[in-house]
Amino acid sequence: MNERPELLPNENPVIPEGINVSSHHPLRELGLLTAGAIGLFIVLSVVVWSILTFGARYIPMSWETRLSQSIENLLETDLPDSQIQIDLQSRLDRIVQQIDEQNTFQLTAHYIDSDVVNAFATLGGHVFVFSGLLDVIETDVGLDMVLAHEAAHVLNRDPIQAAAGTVGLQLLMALVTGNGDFAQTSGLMNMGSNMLLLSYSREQERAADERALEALKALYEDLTGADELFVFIQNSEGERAFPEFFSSHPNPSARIANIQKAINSD
Amino acid sequence: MDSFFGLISFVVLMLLGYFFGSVAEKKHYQSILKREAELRHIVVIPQRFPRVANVTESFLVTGSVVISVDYFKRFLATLRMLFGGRLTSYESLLDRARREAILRLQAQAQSHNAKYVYNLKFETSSISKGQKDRVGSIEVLAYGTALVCS
Repeated sequence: MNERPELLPNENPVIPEGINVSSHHPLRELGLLTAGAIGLFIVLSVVVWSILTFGARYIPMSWETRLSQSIENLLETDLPDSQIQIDLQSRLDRIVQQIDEQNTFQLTAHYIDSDVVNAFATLGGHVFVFSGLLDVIETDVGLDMVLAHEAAHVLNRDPIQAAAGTVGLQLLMALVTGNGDFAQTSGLMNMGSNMLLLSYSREQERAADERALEALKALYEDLTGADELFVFIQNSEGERAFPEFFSSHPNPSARIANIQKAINSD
Repeated sequence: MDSFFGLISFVVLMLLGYFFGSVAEKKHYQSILKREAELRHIVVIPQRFPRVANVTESFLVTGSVVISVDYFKRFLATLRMLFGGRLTSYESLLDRARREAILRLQAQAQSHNAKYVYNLKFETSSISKGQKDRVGSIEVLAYGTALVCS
């Protein structure tokens, strides 16, 4: 036992500040951490997107077809056996014959009675054409250009690549934000309309245009007027007039230029 | 449109949190320093066995405080938790809470004419653990034995 008497303080000592508290400014720390988090997220997104779009190419077409079975029921097709549908299907078949050498792809044309000026290709080889677009296009070569472009997307496996990349990014977002709704609302099994209107990269669009022109060159002597749709869209004040077109197809002016170049190169 | 409103509300909450949080913190620290000077004569010691003579009364005194985290601090902590390291935004919170708890304990002791508080101990808990989107809060309890000497 310690015999020395304790020295009893008369009062509490003054504790110096800044020992238990850090001195750096919270805004600086916020800026640093936010920049780091955004950088990390960008890197991860790019990696996830690249890996998934690369791998998606190897998913067999039969799997894609099975996934897309719900698509046919999703958009109600008016007049399923109408003459227009049959005509579109035969045009599509003719075009596909030119570019699908191994005859491995089965494309189905769908005609939707709606004023929307748009056409798109989605999973399972389904190509949708809206009546608004048919009203706008007057030449055969113009319509075939559109159909050939969508067919080229299917043959390049663009839909499954875009779908895989999008699902991967949504999964990454859900992991980062801790949002458990991912499984319910965005799973691939549940085909919402956002999965139909896939957005392809500019590179994919350019490649599809090229392949489409390839098919058209075999079918037509003179490709003048192939860019009819894009000229129309450009002249109609662009994005304000046709938002659906721009959500699935960027940049008409570049595409017009490419087509003109292809025409003039003959 | 949804995500745009989400972004707006996030920015507003951050600004409110930062502004009001830093004002509250500054005022609290001023009050803490002032009262620490006033209550300096109420001696608080963590030691168990008192070495005081002529003790006439001894009783339990407590001081507790609950302080809430603001949105700005919480978001900063969430970001920090991605990378690891000291949660500096919470450090000042805890420092304030502990010192406030001690001050209230001293005030309680003073109201009973006690001059010493021995066996000082702390308990920290969080009332709402801050699940998902709710901001959490920190409670600190300081307790000890107050001694009244003649």
